[in-house]
Amino acid sequence: MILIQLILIAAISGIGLLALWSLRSRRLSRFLALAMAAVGVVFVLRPELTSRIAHFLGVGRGVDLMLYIFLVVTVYALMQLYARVRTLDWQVTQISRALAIANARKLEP
Amino acid sequence: MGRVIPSIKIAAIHADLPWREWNPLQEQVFVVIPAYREGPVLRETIESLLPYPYKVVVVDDGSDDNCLENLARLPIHYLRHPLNLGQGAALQTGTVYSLEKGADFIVHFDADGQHPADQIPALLEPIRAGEADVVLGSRFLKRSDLEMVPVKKRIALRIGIIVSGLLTGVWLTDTHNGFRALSAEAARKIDLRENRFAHATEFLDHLRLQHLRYKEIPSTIRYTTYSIKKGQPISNGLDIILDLLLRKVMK
Repeated sequence: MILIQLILIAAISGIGLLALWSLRSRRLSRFLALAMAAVGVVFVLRPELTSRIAHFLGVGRGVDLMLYIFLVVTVYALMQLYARVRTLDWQVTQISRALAIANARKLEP
Repeated sequence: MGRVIPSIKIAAIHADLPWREWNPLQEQVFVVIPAYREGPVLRETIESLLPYPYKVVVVDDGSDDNCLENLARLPIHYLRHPLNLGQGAALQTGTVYSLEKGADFIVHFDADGQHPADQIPALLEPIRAGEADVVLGSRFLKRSDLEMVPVKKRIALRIGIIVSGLLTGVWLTDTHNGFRALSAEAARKIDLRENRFAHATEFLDHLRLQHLRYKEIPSTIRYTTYSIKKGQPISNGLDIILDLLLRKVMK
């Protein structure tokens, strides 16, 4: 086994365990995380598999295919996060507004 | 009404006279001032409003500069956001509060003293006359007002006008002017969600979507070294544009 494979497998296992731990209450998400980690490990051990899928899809190299998928998934995740931040922003605003109005003070001269 | 009487005396009169005697029409005008780290200038701005029969609502947007202490003994309503949310959020909070307190008219007024208090009656006039629901101050309607605006600022504002116009379809002569008046009915329809400075353009969206009648009137802006320092640096324009584009995309 090449050194990089060891490093990648260790990383994937670590992230997988982290996901299993933090997604304790969500069975489907846990299963998906586990499946993705497994696929990751397989691709690390047998890189020519990604190349075959890439060729099938008309992409030159497996690494390129991974890059494209990575890009799409990342942008999607960013958008999700952004929407989430906006929702949170809005909720914080509403709470702050309610607090400000409830605690309004009439200053006296 | 435009008479300016020394403010200390006025504070005393305010305490003695019930509201009804000040205002035979029993109209309640609320002036909303969003404030963030304004320091002593805010006090001067409020004092310029005291000769008038308006209720002043200061929304302290989570300032960390003893905002409340600076306002001691002023006859105002003081609200405070526990966190700094942005100017749009502060305006909205003050507006909601004013409506709850029975406002008939709401005026948005900048804290840094760049708007003249004696132009508020002119701002309210078209609403009182039933010609408009919202009246906006503009620096670009009168040559003498325009000449007060520093040249760099003029260019930035022109860009703001074009971007806002393209995004909202509402073309004003001065989109980023904090001086405006709303009827209570219009204020109820406008729910600003852009907490930061994109609210100026969002405001135009509301004008169009709620079919509000609006009018621009000339208003003078006093540029002091303080207001220039405190005001939006021109580079923030890009951030605002980004906020606006994201708002359109993410809605």
